[in-house]
Amino acid sequence: MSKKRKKAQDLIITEVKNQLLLQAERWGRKDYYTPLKLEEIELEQCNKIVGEFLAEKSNLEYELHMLESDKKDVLAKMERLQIYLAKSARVAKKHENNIGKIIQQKIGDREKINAAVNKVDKKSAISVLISDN
Amino acid sequence: MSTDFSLNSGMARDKLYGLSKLKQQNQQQVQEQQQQNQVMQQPATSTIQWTQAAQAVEQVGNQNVQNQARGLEIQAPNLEDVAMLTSTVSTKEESIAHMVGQKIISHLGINVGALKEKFKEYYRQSKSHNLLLERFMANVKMSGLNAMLTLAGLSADEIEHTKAEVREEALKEIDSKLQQDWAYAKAMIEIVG
Repeated sequence: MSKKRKKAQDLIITEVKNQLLLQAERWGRKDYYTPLKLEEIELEQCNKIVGEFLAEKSNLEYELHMLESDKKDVLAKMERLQIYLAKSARVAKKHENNIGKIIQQKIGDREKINAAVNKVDKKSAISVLISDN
Repeated sequence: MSTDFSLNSGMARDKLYGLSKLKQQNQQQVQEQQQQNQVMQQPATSTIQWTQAAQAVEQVGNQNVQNQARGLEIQAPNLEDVAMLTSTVSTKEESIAHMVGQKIISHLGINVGALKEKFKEYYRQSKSHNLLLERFMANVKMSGLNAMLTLAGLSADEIEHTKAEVREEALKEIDSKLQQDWAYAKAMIEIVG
């Protein structure tokens, strides 16, 4: 696909998102669609697409084994589907990483937080052993 | 004739008799007007009764002026007295304005249901991302429709309930569009190309 076409597609997608967010703001949902929320929506749709691809794969397998159709054609479709499945898994992984990064930014440095928590909650030095006797 | 009326033993008998008769007649008239001014338990007449009472007071006042010109002075009830004379007041919501409004609406052949649908449509468009459309709908059409709906008899609570319904629908639609039109399309473009 040419760069120009891809750029145009990205522009349209961004414009659709901005318009919908503006409408939501006008209806009173100002801080509802945060970057985290949008990433979660994208991840959800990615997983939906993966599910659809897996369903298509099972249909193709059935067609390959059970039905008397052109096997070369079916095999070519299955190969292409495998590539798309791998790509969709990568995209889903990317969104998961983005979500992790956003959460990490909100939480902050884990080590510092653990140290602070340990200072506040002092663990007791006495340990009690409970036995059956 | 003197301007101040006072019963004087030196006055002529026939004149005294005539003046006392006139006074009795005026008292009767005032009593009749008091009976008229009593507010009945009828719907949608509270404003008319007050105006009637005010007109009655004016008439008595005019009569008072005429009597003063003749040389008599009669105490007529003031507007404050009218308030004391009325014992009960109608407090029903539906007023004359509502009834007149509904008559106008039915005379023009406007369907209230269709008006409500148009209101929902314009309210939806008044929250559009398009600035011109949003301003036009919000300022011009909505204000006109609000007035029409109140004239048609819809209460403020009903209008607010309608607005809340439209808001819920719109937010659901925005949510589904974000999922379908944006996120799904974006993911497919990234995967398939």
